[in-house]
Amino acid sequence: MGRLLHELVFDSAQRSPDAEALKYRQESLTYADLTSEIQRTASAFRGLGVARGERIAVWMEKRVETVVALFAASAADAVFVPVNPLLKPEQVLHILRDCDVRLLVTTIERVGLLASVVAQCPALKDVMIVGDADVTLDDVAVARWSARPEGVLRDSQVIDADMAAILYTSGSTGKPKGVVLSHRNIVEGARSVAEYLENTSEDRILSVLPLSFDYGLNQITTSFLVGACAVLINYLMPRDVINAVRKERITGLAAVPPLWIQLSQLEWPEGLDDHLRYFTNSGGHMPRPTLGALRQRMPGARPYLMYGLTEAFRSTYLPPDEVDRRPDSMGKAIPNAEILVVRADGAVCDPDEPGELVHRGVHVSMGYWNDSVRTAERFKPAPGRPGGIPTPELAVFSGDTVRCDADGFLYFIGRQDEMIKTSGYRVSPTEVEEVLYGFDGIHEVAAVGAPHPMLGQAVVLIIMASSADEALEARLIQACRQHLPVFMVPAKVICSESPLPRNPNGKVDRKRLADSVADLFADAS
Amino acid sequence: MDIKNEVLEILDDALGLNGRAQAFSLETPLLGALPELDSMAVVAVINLMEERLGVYVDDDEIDGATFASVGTLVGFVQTKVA
Repeated sequence: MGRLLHELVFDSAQRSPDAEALKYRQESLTYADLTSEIQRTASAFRGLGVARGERIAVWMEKRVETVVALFAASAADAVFVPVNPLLKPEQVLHILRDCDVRLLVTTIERVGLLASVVAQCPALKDVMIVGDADVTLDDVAVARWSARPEGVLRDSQVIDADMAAILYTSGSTGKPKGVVLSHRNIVEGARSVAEYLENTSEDRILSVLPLSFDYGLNQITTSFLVGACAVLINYLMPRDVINAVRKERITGLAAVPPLWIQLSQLEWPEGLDDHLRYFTNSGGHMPRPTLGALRQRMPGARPYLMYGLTEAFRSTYLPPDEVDRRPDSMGKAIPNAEILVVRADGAVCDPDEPGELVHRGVHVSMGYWNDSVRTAERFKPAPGRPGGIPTPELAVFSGDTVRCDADGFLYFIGRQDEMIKTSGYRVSPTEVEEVLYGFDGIHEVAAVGAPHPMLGQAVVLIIMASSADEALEARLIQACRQHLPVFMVPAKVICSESPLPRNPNGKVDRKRLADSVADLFADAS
Repeated sequence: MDIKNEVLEILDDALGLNGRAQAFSLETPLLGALPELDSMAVVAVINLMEERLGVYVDDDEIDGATFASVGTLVGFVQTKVA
């Protein structure tokens, strides 16, 4: 039984070497093919001098090489850092520096954007480039993916308690933080999910979401755990997803609410029920009308509504049989996790009493890379540990307020902090605000989330400026588009000539500002 | 009308590429290769195409393959303005 991430692939190759493992456009790899690609790449990483525990970042769209690079990092005893392909060079730079990335894998199309970035990353020694064309970079060596030598891979020295990956995610303040995952976190996460989704080697799972997102990565790990086939797409139009489901005879489809909303508004072809067995939602609440429309379009597919946060991967799912009885519930704990609802003093709440969702178990990650302060805020001693056990167990305190009914089903109530949740992504208000500091004519700026029928929340920028007009708004949006990934760009700018409201500590009161824009998109469906 | 140049200018403006599009050839891949191009940004590209080229683009007419490369997009626009 596989314990390390890459062993998910190697073990499936042992069982069924000729089964299809990975499909992207015209390319198809069996488990035997994928294993040998991973081994060759891992030995190339080692050949470049990557040592145990060093970080290998991968910044490219979803394609065969992306998956191979992630699993090869694991096979080389290194740590992979998947970087969202939508990020701009500024955000890529933050990640490369923050966790001292040693080797970067990217494409010939993207490497030009990083020319000024690599010089600012002292730990970066090598860039491996996918695609044909000769490139040189100052200060780092360039290796070609196509020129990876054949090599023999020595056995792994790591154990499953060692770190395997760092996934970057935003919080309510500051720059994105790296959530450190052990091999065990990822492998057991795949096992828990495969158990309740009842995945088998017959499955064909569509990978629609970014692999930098724990939910998106899980479609790949779950596939490889059970020996199924993962089908990769980079979609542009929602129709691309439906076409892929039909063409590739997909059995399991995972998406986030904004995409589900778009999909629920399209016509679906007949006959998908022959193969589509289930669909899953996470990364935000699925609106009830959307769920209803999707069930009409996919009557034979079972809906799984789920909840999770990167720090503990996945916490709950609602069994499909309960969806009609409790459509607003987040469900119960996933296999091998315990979910508690606790008061501010750590005591467990009574039934239906609101409290903070706390996740304990094997999915609890290793903390935020190089950030003990913010780790201590989110990872705290698990409630209910018997006093006789002298070592602490850490649980993830989610920051989400929920309640648990008398039957043990959980219900989401709200968030305790100011983090914005848009398009399934977490966005920190300060990440958006920072772009506009020092912008001419602007005195104050605050980013808040406003409820939005498509996006969950939309980013709204509220500014105080000496003279506000439409031209200023356009320039602000332009500046955001220049410096931020698409999903962080504000949907609306509101200008004010008076100072923004303050809270008792003298800080800008984002909560009050958020309340003031709560109805902004009420009609925008 | 030089369709390729029109398309490159539209891409540059709609996606905020700061002149990068001027170096694109027909073979330059778009979808997946450009961090700026995703399911939300594509709406801005389509709107600007409609505005500048006076064409109407229905959602059913386009998919990811239309945006595979500069060449596929230019080919699509040529069928619209013909």
